[in-house]
Amino acid sequence: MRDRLRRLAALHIGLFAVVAAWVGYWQVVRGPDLAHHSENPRLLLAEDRVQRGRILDRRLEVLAHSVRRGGRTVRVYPKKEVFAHPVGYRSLLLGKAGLEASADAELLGMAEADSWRALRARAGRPRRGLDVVTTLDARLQREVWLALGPRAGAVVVVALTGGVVASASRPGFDPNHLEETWAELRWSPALPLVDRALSGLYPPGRPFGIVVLSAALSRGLVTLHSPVDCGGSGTQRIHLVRDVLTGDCDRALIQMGVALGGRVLREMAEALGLGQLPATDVPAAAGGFPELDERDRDALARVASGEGGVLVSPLQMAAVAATVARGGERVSPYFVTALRGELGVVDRTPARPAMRILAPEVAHAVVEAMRVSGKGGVPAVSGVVRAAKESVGWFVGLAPAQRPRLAVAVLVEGATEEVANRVGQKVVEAALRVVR
Amino acid sequence: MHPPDTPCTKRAWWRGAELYALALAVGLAGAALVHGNKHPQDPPLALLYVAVALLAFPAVDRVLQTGEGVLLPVTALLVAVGLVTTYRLQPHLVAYQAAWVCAGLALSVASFRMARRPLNPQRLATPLAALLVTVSLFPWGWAWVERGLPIRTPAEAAVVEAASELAKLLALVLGVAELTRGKVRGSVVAAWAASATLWLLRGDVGTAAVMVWVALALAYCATASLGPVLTGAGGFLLMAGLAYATIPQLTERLRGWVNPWADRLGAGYPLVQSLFAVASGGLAGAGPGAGYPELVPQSHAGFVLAAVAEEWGFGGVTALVAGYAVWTGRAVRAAGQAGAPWVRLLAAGAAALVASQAFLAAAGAVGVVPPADVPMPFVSAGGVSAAVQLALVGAVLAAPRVREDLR
Amino acid sequence: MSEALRYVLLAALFLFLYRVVRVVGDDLRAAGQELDRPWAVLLVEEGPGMSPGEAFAVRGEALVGRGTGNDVTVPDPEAGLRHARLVGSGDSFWLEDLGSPAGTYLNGRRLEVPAPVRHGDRVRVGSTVFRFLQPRGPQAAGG
Repeated sequence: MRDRLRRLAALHIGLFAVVAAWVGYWQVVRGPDLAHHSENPRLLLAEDRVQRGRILDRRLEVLAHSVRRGGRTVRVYPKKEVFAHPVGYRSLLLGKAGLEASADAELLGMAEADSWRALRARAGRPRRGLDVVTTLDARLQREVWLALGPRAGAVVVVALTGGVVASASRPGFDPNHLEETWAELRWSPALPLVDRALSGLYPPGRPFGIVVLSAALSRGLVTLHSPVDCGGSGTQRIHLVRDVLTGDCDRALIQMGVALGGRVLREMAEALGLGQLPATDVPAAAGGFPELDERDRDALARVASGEGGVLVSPLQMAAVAATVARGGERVSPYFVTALRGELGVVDRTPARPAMRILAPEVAHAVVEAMRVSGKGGVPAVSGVVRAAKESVGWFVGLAPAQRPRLAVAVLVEGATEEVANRVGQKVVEAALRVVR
Repeated sequence: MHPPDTPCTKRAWWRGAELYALALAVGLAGAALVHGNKHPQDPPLALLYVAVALLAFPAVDRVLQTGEGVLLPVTALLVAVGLVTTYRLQPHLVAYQAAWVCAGLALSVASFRMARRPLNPQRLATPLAALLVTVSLFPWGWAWVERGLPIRTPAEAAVVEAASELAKLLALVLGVAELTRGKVRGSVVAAWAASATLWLLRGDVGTAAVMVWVALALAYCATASLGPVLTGAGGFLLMAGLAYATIPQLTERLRGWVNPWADRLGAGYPLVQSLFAVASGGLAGAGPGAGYPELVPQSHAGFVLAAVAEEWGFGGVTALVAGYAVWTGRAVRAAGQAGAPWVRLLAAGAAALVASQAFLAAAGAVGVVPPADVPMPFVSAGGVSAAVQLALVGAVLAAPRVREDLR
Repeated sequence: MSEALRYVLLAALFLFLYRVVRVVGDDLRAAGQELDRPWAVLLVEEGPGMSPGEAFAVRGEALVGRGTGNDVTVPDPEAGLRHARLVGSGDSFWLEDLGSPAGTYLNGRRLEVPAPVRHGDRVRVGSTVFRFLQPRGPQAAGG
């Protein structure tokens, strides 16, 4: 009997040891990964113990703030759908997007975007997160939003700094009622959840000529005053390189691109930030540039005309235009300028290392060519291009006409070049009026 | 021959009280933390309930004078963890739970006194077998009665819980009564199998598993032969396999256990959430009241270990599991000191009853075995189970006093 | 405050475990030495609040009395708080009265000085009567 009892006890105690070891495995060995697992709901819940900071525009107008309502904290977006895409949303069910996601750590007042353990360590003491001051301008954003058609995106960038003063996408959604309307938004054919300005990818069409022309001028292949053959019949008017962006001379652009070759085009596109993740503080799409076979002249021709697998976002095109306007120094767009807390303000403007992409004379020459092609008094390139199912209109411009300081990119889905140009002109006017 | 001149030993009065004081400190500190973290605006009545329930343990120890200085204090520690967890997860139940603990302690005094009497339990076997099957039928009968009623009674869950606890207890007592002779009749085996099957058919694998586990442990202790034990275990596994294959709700649960991550919003949800809670506890835990155990479904019942793991950390879980291991070891030791076969079996079976439930509950919460909704002894909220288990503690404590072999 | 309480909680938990492990270890060591030490049993024959057949194991030394803190507690109003003691010496036990007013009786005779007890002797404390059993004691083996 004694032996049997001893074995009975040993069996049970052994089983307890197995359980303790198993718990130790999940708690200590696997603990860190699971505690930070994206599906672990604790992170979002732990945040409720911190008063989340506000998101402000560059004049400190409120774009998002937290309000106590009925015993719980609600995130309120006073600008509703106008700022839905760049500001994003925060929802227990749906997670986070936009600045709410990318500036999360700052909004929660964490020194580094580490773990919820750091957050929990401070739980119990109610604390405030930091207010995030952005480059966005609420007035301009509203005007741009109103100027855009039903499906369009637009970005306005300060050329000298890269600060994004407006980034609008339509259709939008009301982030104050996201959870109720989620199913409808999710399956809507107009794709209201897609940020067309930052994440919408389209073939660039003629505005890609800025890249081709920059490469050709940089390589010394042509000068602004070289004559080009634009084909055509009838009157044999002499065209110069400065005319290639106007739309009358796409053939010359293509010839230049083919003459430069795929490697040179790719290098220039990448130097200008195409096909790469934009170095912004908000998630944005990288786009793409196709692999090119140097002997495949057709593919090369398609790429030179801004099609054939080249995909860019309005934000990237605005950055290209801003780089040209800044005299050839690369511009990386950004959104967050400063953090404001109880203790003061921290400057968060990204450092701008001078990174010369184009010689100043080349940049000035490209601006000159844009000035020639501009149809409303400011340097601009517009165009229309066949996207997946429909044509999309582009407008890439600079303002004002002399010494431009703002870069604008507008994309209108299902539109002609004229429509895109008209929208672009409205955006330019608004930007000049608001951003002084 | 000379009389020994050893001086009379002095025993400090606090010698036995120290462990109870530490258990009380655990209970009060835990309850105070929960109060501060979760209900700072309410009056801290829960601390009073915890104190009353935990002070009842040394009082009972004084009355019983068992000389077994570990079993009852360890029980007090487990109850302390349980009361804090109940206050954390179901604050409205903490007063009831404390009252049930006190009632269970009164029962333990009664069972202590009863178990000391010389008893010949063999003639009880047949009525006990009948009672076991009846109790196992009770939830079915209740459901049948309810179908005739125009309303659903809120008592159904309580009825099923009480029936489950009674069935487990009866399986133990029946085994003791039958196996005291060292052999077992076919009719008693049939009663065990029938009631286990009834519970399996209800989808309550936990109750059936505990009943069979206890019966097999008793059979091994009484007969020393492994053959019938292995046959019984194999038969139960076969039946449980059939139940898992045919009862849709069990099939779902098995699927969620085999690979919880594949269907983490469906069948695997409880286990995945439990593992998240366990993992989020880390070494030292969030502190009672500072975690999110309510995110785990059934965290107050079958998954209570996840709640303890998240808020008390690996340290707390280790202490809890070590507490069960010590409890089991001491209960089996008490069984070994018993001087009558039936009381030896009773103590060993009680140890198996508590240990098997503790193992199934803890292992189910972290996926070692399929989650079976077994309440954690002394820890899970549940009045009848606390009362039954504390009554068993009394019987175990009485075991070394019964020396029929010396008469 | 709550941080401090958390440390109190963990400290109490692990101090508890440490003490328990100490006691369990002592008991296991004692069980190892048990074979070398004399052991006996006090079996209740009659007494208020006791059931006949109830047994108290005696190893080394055992205090008998009404008060708590004795090894053998008798719920007997006539017994003293600390009434008598049994002490193992060599392989036999001695019974000693600890100055109780009611006295301790061995086989019906009041005890004045410590006396050796043998297997089968009757020990009376107050109105509670025990039978002293030492199955492996010297007298049992002899007679």
